[in-house]
Amino acid sequence: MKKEHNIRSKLNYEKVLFSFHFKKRFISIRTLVCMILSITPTFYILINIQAFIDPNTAIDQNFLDGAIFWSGFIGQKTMVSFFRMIPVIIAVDIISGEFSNKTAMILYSTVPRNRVLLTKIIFLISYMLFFVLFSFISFGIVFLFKFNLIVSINFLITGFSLIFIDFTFILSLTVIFSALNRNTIISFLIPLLYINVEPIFVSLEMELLSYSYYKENIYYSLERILFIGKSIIIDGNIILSLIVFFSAPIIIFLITFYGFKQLDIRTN
Amino acid sequence: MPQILSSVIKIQGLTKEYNNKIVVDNIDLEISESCFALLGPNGAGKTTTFLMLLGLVKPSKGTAFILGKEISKNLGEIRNKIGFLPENVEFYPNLTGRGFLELIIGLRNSREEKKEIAESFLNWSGLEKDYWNKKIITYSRGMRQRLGLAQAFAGNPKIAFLDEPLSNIDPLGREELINKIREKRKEGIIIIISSHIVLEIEQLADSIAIINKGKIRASNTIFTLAQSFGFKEYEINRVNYKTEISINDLYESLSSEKDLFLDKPKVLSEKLIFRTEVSEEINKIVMKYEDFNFTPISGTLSKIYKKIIKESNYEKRA
Repeated sequence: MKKEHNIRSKLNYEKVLFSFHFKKRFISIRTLVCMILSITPTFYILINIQAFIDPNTAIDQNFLDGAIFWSGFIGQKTMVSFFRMIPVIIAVDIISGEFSNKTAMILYSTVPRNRVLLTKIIFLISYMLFFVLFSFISFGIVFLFKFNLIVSINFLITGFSLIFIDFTFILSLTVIFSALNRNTIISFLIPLLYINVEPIFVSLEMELLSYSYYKENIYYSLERILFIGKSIIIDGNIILSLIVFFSAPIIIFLITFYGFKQLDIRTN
Repeated sequence: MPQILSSVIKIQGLTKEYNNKIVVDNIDLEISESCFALLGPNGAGKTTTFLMLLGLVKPSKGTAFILGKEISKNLGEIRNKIGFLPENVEFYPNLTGRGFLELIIGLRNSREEKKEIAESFLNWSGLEKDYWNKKIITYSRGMRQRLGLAQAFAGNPKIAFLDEPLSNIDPLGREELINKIREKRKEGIIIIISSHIVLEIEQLADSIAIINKGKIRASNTIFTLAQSFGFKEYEINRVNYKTEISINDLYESLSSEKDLFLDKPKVLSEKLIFRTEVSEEINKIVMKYEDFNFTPISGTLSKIYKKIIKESNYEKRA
């Protein structure tokens, strides 16, 4: 009995499930679609490069960091809804898929559901990280060839963190619907709808409902640090933005864990 | 922590309510036999009872103990000792049969030889070798059922829960699956089956419970139930050819015991039919012969089942 227990690695479930999802998802059309989406911001900037270039300004490190990378790549709004679809696409059927193909009964009778969910979330974050990195690397390569310059590391880290946390929020939103509603269509449509109606919230003065509003507050505060070298002006708005921006994905994941634990797992 | 060691499964007041409708109503049950069948019509509450025992559905009231451990507190430990074949089993459609089995074996057991184990279970299940590496989406219903059976036993469980294992299977396939389940029972795995196909279950189960409208209507060994309903006709069938012992040899052996039969048994080529009032005693003797199976005469359980279900339906209307 003890011997049998020793054989079983403590993280066996996680290792097996992670490698299963990796093999199943990595070589797929989904990956290809997400790779295309992850290079859209770079190509959008490249196509519209004239709009960013001021004929009186020299193309130097500051220009690449500020106008091209920070404003064009991180802060741009035109292609953002396409780019933000990546977490939705990768997470849409992560739980609901097993309920529609009825594998859930076998899986959840074999592995504790919280460990399945945790493994899936870790896998999704890693999978998403790949696309964010791919997007940044493709940006870096394209503009290295174009201007023979590389974005400064402080801009890169700050921009990467902003995009990564924003994507984690959308991912958490998709996972909660996939896990608690267990309907792939719903878990696709609701986060997609949210991404697209966020600007409307702002115009209706309901900006507190928009995650992008908090992200923008932080974006402008960070801009102040990066460009002027001044510290963030701490006021109620920025405190609220910091709290919501960082804690919203964690809270949504915790609600998902709690709700999923209470669910009855049955497929018919 | 309460320890119930006398029975394999002990269910105490298990109840499940969905939207104010009681689907499992205060069930008390003790299972100690090596093959137990929960019989009942569709919607009787069999699957819900199974899912509560497996920790997939939370009971509204009551509890259950598996191998002496309370399910609500020791699910992790219990989970490692059980296998489960769900009703209308389905799998990841784009995975191969071998791939799926390797995944399940990997989850239940971290040992490296999962490829060999998967192959041995695929072989045991009777799934054609040509299909082992084909996507499950191309499998017929019967093939999926075989794969489902293989995965239920693949982690060497102590208890296997099989929910409607014989539905959607043709009669020949059913016979084969019954023999495979019987094989596993002989290896010492406790089999818990839910079914509405009564005829085949009587060849397999030692004891049964009949459930209707969420309530247990009868529960006992098949022999005790047959006796209590006044059935005295039984049969011994040859189900395997692993030994040289013939039905005549068995008959002679039984005849040497005193007062087993009420009258002279009919000896057919592979079958012995007789009347008796000491079925439990005969069962103990026949159990020693691995090629033979002792049951009430074909159709007895079906008659008991119909009577109990009709009575419980009438009870409701009255």
